[in-house]
Amino acid sequence: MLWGKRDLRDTFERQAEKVFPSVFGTALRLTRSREEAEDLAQEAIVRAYEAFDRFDGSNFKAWMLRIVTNLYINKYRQRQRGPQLHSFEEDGVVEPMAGENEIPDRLLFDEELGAEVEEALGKVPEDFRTAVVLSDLEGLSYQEIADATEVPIGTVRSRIARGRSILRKNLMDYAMKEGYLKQGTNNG
Amino acid sequence: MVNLELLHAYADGELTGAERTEVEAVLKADPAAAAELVAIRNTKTLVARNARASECEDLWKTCCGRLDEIDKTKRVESFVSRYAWGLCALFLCVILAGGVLRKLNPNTVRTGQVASYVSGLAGGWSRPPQQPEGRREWFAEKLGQVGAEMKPNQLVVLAGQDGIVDNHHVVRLMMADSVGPLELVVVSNTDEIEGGQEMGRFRAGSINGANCVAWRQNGCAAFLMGDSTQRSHEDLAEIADALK
Repeated sequence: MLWGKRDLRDTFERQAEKVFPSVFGTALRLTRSREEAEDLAQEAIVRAYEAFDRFDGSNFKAWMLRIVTNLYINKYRQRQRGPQLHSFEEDGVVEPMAGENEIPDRLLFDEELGAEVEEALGKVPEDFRTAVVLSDLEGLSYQEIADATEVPIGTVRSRIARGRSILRKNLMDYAMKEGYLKQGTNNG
Repeated sequence: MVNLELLHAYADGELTGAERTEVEAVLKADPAAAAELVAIRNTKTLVARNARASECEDLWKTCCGRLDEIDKTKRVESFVSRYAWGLCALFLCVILAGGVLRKLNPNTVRTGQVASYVSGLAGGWSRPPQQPEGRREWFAEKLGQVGAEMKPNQLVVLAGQDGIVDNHHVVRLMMADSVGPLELVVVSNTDEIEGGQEMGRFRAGSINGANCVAWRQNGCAAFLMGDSTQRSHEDLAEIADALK
């Protein structure tokens, strides 16, 4: 085993380096603090390395993000100060938003939008944000998100729908503020 | 009204065949549902396209550093667990060899043993009489127990302790002069002193952070110790010469 460790390390390092931007990006979006995100990402890498011999070889990125998310839920979330934005009922009905105030196409090409998207994401309650980040930014399947967050797949479905609706609302506020959209106008 | 959770799941390609058929039928019949689907897809595109990538090269290097540390620890652990029996055997041999050497040279005292001799003294402290004459007699009597002859001269003798440790009679005397305290330990039946460095008629070294000079006298080993910040080995050798 002693001599096989080098190969294990090389294999892990090769794969982990590729997905590290996703690991850190997710950590950053979950904690919303660079310092905590750095700690979380480092700890996730260490945990993953220590458990790498038990990795089933299927989807390394999903496995890494599962570690990050679990670690965040079990450790970092408890540490964060202040009340969490968590007043939405998960099983409530999601209101349709299209039609009257739809995000205009021009907004899709706004060069300055990066910060706004991050800010809008930050305003989405934590559990919904986690689901949206893992789905829309990291491309995880619902089953992988359910595994990562340790909730049933139906809850993931609900959280994604709720999270995206809130995100759209936040982005439309931006669109209206910037003049891409006027109150009460139709898209088009 | 279309089920929006299903619509989001449809946009993500996460529906079963039956659910997909159901949603597609609704989309054909309901323009509002179709518009909602477009809106969902736009939001997904918007977020995916505009989320900011964070600089993390330095952090990755830090992570690699931590992995190096883990590897190092694992290598040591692996070595120890693999060769634990060998290490145990080696330590056992060292201990046995030490025991054998000690049996072969029972009258050799190593400077490193002084601390164990001192700690092995079970008896309490006794104090000399107040009168100078009585003090000198007390001093001579104490050292006489181990067969040594010394004179305190200008030193004030404060207290003494004696006992048998490892088949050696050991006397420990606390003394002082105008500079500070001194400690004299005399061990009986000693042929040789090991440890420290040769310094004229003495061996010089340090014991528990204190400077020490050692010498042999009348079949005994004597160790004179003083605070290393107050006394050099040369100072101690001068005092030892006066004692002798």
